[in-house]
Amino acid sequence: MPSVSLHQNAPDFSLPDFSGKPVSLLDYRGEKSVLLVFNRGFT
Amino acid sequence: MAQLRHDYSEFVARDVEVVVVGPEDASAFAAYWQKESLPFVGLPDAKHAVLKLYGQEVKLFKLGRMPAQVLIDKAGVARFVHYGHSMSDIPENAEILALVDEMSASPDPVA
Repeated sequence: MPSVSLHQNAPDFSLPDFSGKPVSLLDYRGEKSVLLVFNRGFT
Repeated sequence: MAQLRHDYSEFVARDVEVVVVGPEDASAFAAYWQKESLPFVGLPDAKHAVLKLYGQEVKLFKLGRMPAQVLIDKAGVARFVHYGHSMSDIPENAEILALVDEMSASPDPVA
């Protein structure tokens, strides 16, 4: 199963947010850190 | 999610954007964000593209997806990777915020 390794570049991705605005991991490069949270479902 | 919302200002103060990815569709995300007044970015990933890219674990016999968190620094490097082993296996915000503070103090990762 693929996974992310510590101290390696995180794989880039681009997806529209729920309002349709495109969001890419690269957008944050040099600007902000990102806490990526993989949701376990809305409860 | 409520825990993240509660501490969101702490993340913002440290230049951290919180991005939540889930398999639900855009309308489910929009409804939940509105209901819970969530301030962070929500990315519906109905095709599981990012979920697969990052290897979120699915345990069919444990009712769904395990939680996972990845902290990525400004250079795009993963500085904290946590794959939950149960539905409640989620690190405390304080733990992640402490890591962000460490990251700021030493921007170059030491493997």
